[in-house]
Amino acid sequence: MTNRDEILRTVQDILVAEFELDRASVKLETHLVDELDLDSIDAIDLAVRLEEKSGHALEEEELKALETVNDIVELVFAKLDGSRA
Amino acid sequence: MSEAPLWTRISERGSSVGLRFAVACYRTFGRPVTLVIVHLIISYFYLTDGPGRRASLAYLRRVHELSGRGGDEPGHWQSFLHYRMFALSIFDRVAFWLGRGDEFVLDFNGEELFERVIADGRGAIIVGSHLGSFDSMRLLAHRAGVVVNVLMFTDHAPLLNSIFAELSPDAEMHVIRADPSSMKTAFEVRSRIERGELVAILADRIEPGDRGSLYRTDFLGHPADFPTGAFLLATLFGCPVVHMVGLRRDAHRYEITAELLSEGTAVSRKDRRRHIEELVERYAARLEHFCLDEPYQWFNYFDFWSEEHGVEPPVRKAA
Repeated sequence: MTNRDEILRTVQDILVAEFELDRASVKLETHLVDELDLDSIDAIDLAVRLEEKSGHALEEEELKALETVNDIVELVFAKLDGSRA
Repeated sequence: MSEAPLWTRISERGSSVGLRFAVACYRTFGRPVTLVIVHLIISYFYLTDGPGRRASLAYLRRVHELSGRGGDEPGHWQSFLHYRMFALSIFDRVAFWLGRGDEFVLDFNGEELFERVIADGRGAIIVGSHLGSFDSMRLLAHRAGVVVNVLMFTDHAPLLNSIFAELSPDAEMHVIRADPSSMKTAFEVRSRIERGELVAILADRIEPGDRGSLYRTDFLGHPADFPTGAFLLATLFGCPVVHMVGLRRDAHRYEITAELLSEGTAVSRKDRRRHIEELVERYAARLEHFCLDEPYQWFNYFDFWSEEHGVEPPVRKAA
C-alpha cells in the first residue's frame, strides 16, 4: 500500500469482503454514513482492519471526522507518507 | 460518574503511607495484628467520606428493596460493613500478592467451561466487575497456567498497582493499557485474542473512553448506564464472552463462578448492535444476581444510577 489507488483498493477489499458491500458502490466520493450506512461499530471494525494492513493506528478523533471513502484514503495516505518522511 | 471511585480518592488523600504500612505489618506481624490496623484505616475513611457513604447506603437500600428479605432498612452500620468488606478484600489481595495464595481455598463453579474455553484456543473476553475479588481469579489463572491480560486505565488506582507491582514483579499478568482516544487498544486486544489468550475487562464502571458507547438497562430495579466496550470487542472479534466473579465466602475461602454469556458465533452486521445490547443486559442481570448474594462485596462507592452521562444509544453514529 504505497499510493492512493492501492489504499482505495484495500478499503474496497475490506468493505466488500467483511461488510458485504458491492464494490461498485464504494467510490471515493461515497458517503460512509448516508450511502453505505456504516455506524460507529463498523468504524471501529474498519479501523482495526486498516491498522492491520497499514501498520498505523487510527485515533478516535480521526475516525469521527471521516465522512467519505476519500477521507479514509487521505488519512491512511497521510499516515503512510508521514512515516516515510 | 459524579464521584471518583474509592481507591482513586484514597490515593488523592495521600494514604499510600497507610497502605504501605499495612503491607509492612502483614510481613512483620502477620494476619491478626494487620487486621486490627486495617479496621482502623477503613474506619477513618468511612468517617471522612460523606459522598461515598451516601452512595453506599443508596446501593444497599436498592438491594434491600429488591431482595424481599424484609427487616429494617440498611443504615450506617450496614454501610460501615460495606466499607469494611472493601478493606478485607484489599487485605486478602495483599495476601495473594505476597504469595500466600495457598492459604486460600478456591471453590470453582464452571471449571469445565473455563477449561473448554482455554482448550478451544479461540481466546475469550472475560467480563468481570467490582463485585468480590478479581485477584482471586488471577490466582486461579495462575494455578491453571494461563496468561490473563487485564485491560486497565493506568491513571486509575496507580497507588494499589504500584504497591502490587513492587510486591510481585513477575506475576502472570499482562496489563493492556487502555488508551481512550486510540484504536490501538482494540488492536492489542485482538492480537491477544488471536493468540488464544484471555482478556479481562471490568464492565461495571464507566471509564473516560466509554462515554460515547453506553447502554442503559435495568440494574437492581432501576436503569443504569453500562459501558459496551467489552461486548463490542467480543462481537467484532467473534470470541466467547465469559462472566467471572470471585466472592469471598469466609476468611480463607473464595467461591469463583465462570459462566458463558456468549459462544462468540458470528453475528451479521445488521444484528450486531442488538447483540451487544443483549450481552449488556445478560451481564447486568448476572451482576445483579451476585450483588443480591453478597451485597457488601460490590466496591463501587459512587452513584451508579446517575443520569449524568445522559441516555445514549449504545454506540453513537460514526459521523
